[in-house]
Amino acid sequence: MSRFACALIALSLLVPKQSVAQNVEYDLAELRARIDSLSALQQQLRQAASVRDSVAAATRTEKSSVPLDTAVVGPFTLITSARDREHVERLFARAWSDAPGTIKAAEQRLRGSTWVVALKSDTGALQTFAKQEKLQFLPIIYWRVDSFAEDPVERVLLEATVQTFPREVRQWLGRVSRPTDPQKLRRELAVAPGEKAQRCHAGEVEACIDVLGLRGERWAVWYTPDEIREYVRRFAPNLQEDFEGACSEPPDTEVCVRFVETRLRLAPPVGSRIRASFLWHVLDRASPSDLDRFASDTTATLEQRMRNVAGDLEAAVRSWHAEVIEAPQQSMPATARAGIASVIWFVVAAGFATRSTRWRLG
Amino acid sequence: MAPGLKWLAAAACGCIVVALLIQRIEQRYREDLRSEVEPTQVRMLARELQRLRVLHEEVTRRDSVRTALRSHETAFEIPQNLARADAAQVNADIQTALASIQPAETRIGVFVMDPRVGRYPAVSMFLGPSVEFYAGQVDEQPYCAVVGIGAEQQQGEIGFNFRSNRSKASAASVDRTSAENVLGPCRWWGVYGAPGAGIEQWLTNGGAGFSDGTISNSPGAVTARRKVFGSRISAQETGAVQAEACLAGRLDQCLATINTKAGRHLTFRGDVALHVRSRWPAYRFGADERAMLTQIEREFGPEKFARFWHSGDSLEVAFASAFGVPLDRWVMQWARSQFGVEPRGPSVPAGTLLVSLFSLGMLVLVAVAIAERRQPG
Amino acid sequence: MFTQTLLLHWKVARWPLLPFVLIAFGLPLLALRMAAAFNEAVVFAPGRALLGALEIWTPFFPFLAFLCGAACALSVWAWDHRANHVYALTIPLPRWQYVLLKLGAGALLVFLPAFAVLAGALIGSSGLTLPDGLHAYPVTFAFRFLLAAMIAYAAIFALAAGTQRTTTLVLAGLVLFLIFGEIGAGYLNDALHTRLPAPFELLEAALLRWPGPFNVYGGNWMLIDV
Repeated sequence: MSRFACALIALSLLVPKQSVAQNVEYDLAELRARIDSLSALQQQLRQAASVRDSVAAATRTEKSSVPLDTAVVGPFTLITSARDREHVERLFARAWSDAPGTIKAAEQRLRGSTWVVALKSDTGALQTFAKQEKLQFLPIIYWRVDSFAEDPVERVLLEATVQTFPREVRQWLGRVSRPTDPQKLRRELAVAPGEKAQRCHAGEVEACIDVLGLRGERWAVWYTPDEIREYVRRFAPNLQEDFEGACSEPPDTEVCVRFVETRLRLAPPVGSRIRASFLWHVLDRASPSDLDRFASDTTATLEQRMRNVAGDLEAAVRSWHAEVIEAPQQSMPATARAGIASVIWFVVAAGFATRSTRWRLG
Repeated sequence: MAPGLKWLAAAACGCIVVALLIQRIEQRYREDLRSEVEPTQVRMLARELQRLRVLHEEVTRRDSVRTALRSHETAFEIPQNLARADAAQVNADIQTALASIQPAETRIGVFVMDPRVGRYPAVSMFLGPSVEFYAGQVDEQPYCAVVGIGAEQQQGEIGFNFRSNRSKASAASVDRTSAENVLGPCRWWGVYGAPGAGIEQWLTNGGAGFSDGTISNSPGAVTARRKVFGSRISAQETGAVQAEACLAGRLDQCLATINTKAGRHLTFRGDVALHVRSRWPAYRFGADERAMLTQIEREFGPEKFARFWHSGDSLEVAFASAFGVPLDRWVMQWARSQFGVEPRGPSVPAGTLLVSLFSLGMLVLVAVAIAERRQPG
Repeated sequence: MFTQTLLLHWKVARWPLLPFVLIAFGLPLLALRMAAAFNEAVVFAPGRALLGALEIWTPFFPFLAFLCGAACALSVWAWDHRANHVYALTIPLPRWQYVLLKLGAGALLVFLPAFAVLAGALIGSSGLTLPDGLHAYPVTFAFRFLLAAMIAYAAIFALAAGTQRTTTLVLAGLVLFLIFGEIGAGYLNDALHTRLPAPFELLEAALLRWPGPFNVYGGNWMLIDV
């Protein structure tokens, strides 16, 4: 028991006898025993409740189970309700035939990939089935907003393909995506923090290789000591003192490295979108055998793996930079499009107005 | 008349269909609610467990408090692991507070404790820094104790402060905590001695929450309690419904409000378990209700207050006989002056009715005027 | 004459008014039943939970009152507008008397949705076990609804009595005042660092707060309260 403060004022006056409640004594050992027994009972009740809930869920599943059917499209085995089988098969067949070569080249590696696909109202029963059978589950609900932004079937193909890549590549990639909007990529690189990222934006190849993290997640390569100092000053002022204490020496000493890795956790200057854009740029130009080697090689470093599949890594970086960052905008500016649409609709509305019965005589 | 009957029949059928539809919606809604809420058994058991764990901690603290109050120490120490940032302030506050009630009528003890005292099992279920107030008897002498429970901080230190603007580990839910407020309800023990039976009963049953504060020097203006359509301002939503009924003019609810506990209260029985001042308090009327007893003392004077305090009668009788004013009426007037007036239901006030009838009349005149000027075509 | 006017109005308005009557019956019933269901599921502070669950519904009732009043008012003048108000000239009645007859006839019909609200509120609150401190006010609630509907009826009646041109001018003026007033007030507040009230605020203060003409709308619409 820790020590506690105590301040006493000695009783000096005779206080008339008041009716103060009698002190009730408690047996602490008895209290502890009661706490222990109730805790055990709580655990049992919680287990019983979860068993009861899963039985109820299974009963509901049995009552509402739907007849299932299987379809095979490319390397994928699809399990769905018999009623929706044709539609699902058509969706996947179209997505597979429109898939880029990089994904099609992974057909052998994807063989055996099984998905439970639910359309509209069978979601509950099929999801339960997928959970029971430990299969991957894909709900296709077209009225949800995110479905308009990205086709869920195409996303499945992308994710399944990335799943066949080595773990180091997947960790480096982070969020799975296949960016198609160069404007967003340009913007992200233009405002990326750090001098190294700015040099990459300007076109320096070595800087891009560092900023993309191909040589490892090394914050000492991404940021200069002054940039880290500025980061601490602005975003972690409470750590400023500790930082100066640990990193007053050149930043690659052990103490400073440990401090930055454990306390600051600096993020890379560019995120997974830029990395994904470079990765697909390289893979789309590789031969099927190179792709296989890329996916199956588990011993090489990330940089070596990229060199193997790209041939000349520096040239690949230069071509990616030219295509994505330097390319001029192809599409019409949005304001011009909006202007044209406004004029068209104005004419249509004016046309209706001139045809109004109000203006007709007789 | 047949068309009229037809319409009535259609309306009646429509109403029945609507009622049945609503019944179905209600059933489905109840099912959804049921699935979201843990079964009652488990909930009740969890509450009982929580109560026993809190009781264990409180009793351990209380036993050590009573042991300390037996030993007649006059010096005091703050715990060695109290954070340096807080220690000087706490020290100064306790000394100032005790000096303000010299010479005290009863034993007053002020303690600051580590939150791990009495914890069982050892896993943390820390409820936040708080201050417990209770009174009782030790060696047949009355006492009142203030027990501050700190918060664990880094490197084994504990943080505690009576003032909310000084430390993150403050238990003071009062922004304007002054040194006097350190003693809370125990100040009355110090100034007037132990209370009479009726007053003590009231303090244990929720009255202590009305005796835990001093009147602020700059009272805030009473703001409107409702927004448009009668919806409540979010700050009011933490108060008690009975308090709102009191502000709406229901005198019986005024008595019920001041006899209800609010927020966390001490679990052990016996003693005079007064009050827990925590960082997330629950009020009945609002934060300023803590100064009600201080307001009574200021309004009626210390002599009458002492008579009230030591009375053996129930609270209502003691109040009326000491101050000559019915308690429920005084509480309603005081509450309305501090917290505003509540509307009583959706009844239309006389002013609104008059304005509406006047508006109706004006609109009718406008309609007639417009129609008079109208030409066909 | 009043009976004939009333019968005529009833003939025009009875079926269009039926959906409003059904909604007026169902809305308080639905609000009370949902709030009661939520209240029973809650263990901690059930009274507060009930009030919170009911508060969600409060804006619907003044809106419904406005719609009911507007529906009755627009239906009163429907036939006159169609016939260009020629009928009013052929009957041997001063124009102001004619208008008052129509006003009275329409006002009686406003009682129908108000009775429906009363019925729904009474049925909804009859089976309710209220926590300590709370009371149901079906009758005063229905009275507030009636008063609000009457005000709306009178205002729309006055507007509809005029020409479409008048109505268009009035409404367009209001909309322009609101839009340009908001922009202007915002601009001046930014440029001069003042706190000018925006038109919406002025409108709310003038109309909904005492002694504004629509004060009954801005008041307390809680069917269950302290």
